[in-house]
Amino acid sequence: MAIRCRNGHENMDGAFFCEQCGEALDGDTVQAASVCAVCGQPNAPGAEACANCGVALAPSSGGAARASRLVLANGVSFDLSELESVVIGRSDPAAEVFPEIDLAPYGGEKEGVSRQHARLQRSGERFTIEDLHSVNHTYLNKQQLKAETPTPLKNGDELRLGRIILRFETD
Amino acid sequence: MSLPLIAITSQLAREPLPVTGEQQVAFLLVEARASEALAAGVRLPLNLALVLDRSGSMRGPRLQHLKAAIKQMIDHLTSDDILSIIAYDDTVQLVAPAAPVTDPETLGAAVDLIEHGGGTAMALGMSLGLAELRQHAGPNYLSRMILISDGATEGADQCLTLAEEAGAEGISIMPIGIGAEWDDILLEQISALSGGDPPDYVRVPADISASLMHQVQAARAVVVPGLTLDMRFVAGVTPRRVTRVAPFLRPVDGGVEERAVTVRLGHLEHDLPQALLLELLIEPKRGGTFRIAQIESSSSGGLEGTLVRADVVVTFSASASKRPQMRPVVLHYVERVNAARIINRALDDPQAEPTAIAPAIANLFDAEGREQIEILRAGHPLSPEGRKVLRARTRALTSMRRKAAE
Repeated sequence: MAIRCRNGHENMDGAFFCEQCGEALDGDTVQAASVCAVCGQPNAPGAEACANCGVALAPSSGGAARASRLVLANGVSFDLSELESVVIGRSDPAAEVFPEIDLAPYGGEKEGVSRQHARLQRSGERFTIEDLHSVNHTYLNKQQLKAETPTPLKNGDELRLGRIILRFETD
Repeated sequence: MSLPLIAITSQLAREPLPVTGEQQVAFLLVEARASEALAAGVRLPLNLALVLDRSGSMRGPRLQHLKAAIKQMIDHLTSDDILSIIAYDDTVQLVAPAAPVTDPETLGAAVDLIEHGGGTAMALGMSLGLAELRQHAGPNYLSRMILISDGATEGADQCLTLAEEAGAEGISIMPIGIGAEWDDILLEQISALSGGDPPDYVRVPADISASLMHQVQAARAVVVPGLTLDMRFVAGVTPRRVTRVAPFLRPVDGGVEERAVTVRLGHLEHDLPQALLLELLIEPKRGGTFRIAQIESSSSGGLEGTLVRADVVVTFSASASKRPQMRPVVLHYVERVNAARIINRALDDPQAEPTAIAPAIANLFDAEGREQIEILRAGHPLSPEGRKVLRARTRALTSMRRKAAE
């Protein structure tokens, strides 16, 4: 028995997604896999640790997160506790770019910070930093990061975006 | 018998499969991972050929950054490793013949002397690179060509022939494309034919160094060279499509027969699995539990412990009350492989009608990818850079990353 997607494309019995347009075909709603922010491995929903690299995965519900922050040299601190994924950069209203962590007020443009410079992601108790093809690069403890390659952060790590230095702190 | 050094596992997207009385499609995920013993084992020394484009378009920052990146890479090789450096335009220059990396300074000085030149005949560079690699290729080294290009080339057919030869000899080609003008279809074919990773897209010259360092890190992580999976299916079960889904996404073209699949997976790294998604056509079955396939792994080096067998056993149920168990990990791959096929179809056929690409597909991509998909949906052509971006994002839909050293 063929299955039709809502756009009318015919698919074989047993298919989950339409081969023509990609629409999900009728069936049970399935909880999405929990993708590890560090290595990209999909894991069963609710898994506590990544089956490939072993890092802690974000809990599916509840659980108080540890307080984590990024601190500028002048002591200004950005709280990361409630965030899953944030872009660090500098706002540019003309281009309608408003990153969650905005370094424009701290000389971002002059210091070589791109509008969307790097992404910080949380996976459970772990954070990763990923350069977003920034012009002046992202450095972790003075090592240049390859673009689009999430790299784990630990307490006390130094991040440099352009010429702005931030310290990652977690309790 | 030695301890198995590879673990093979498989799971269907849902189980039990229903008894429908008709043909149905089923999705099977097969994963191969290195055992803990292998992860801690000794690595093979490297036999690398760096084949780089020095055509006129490389003039300026591209060649400057590339030279600096090569010198940085040389510093991360040891005297156990072999390196050759070849520069091509419409001629070819042997910058450094294949030799152990004992004198980084002299190698660096040779790199400094590379000058930009004329047109582009990549096959000349590949051919000389292959000749240098052959001097040490074999079970004692991990042999790889790092192929760098920033534009279209003459002699594409010859490049593909050389890639096939390299693959047959256990030499994989890892392409790096710089800027927006390189031939992504040709470089993808070269890597696929030779058993290499998909091309690394370097958008700005300053990222070349990170890309080359990644190549060294990836080569150092290999624990099983030349891994092959052979799968045989029982009557009534036919592989329809096979796609590599980890560590990168790539359809498998060759080796799929009516009742058997052979996939050359290339090198298995200690911290990344190799995974395949198989789409199987299953003829009507009665209820019960059956073995539908047998999987066997082997390695080109004949490494003891890499010959591992696993059965794929599936339950069919006629009971309407027995709800199938859905496997989100397999469905994750099913959705992304289907999305990649739809996007690639739209990219490959610019004459096609504006494709009805479901919004759910666009949601699998980042903002940049979504922007390109919107252009496709509107029936407009993509810019060369837009195509590169969307192809790279599509390849990355299921790709995995090595855990960075802490």
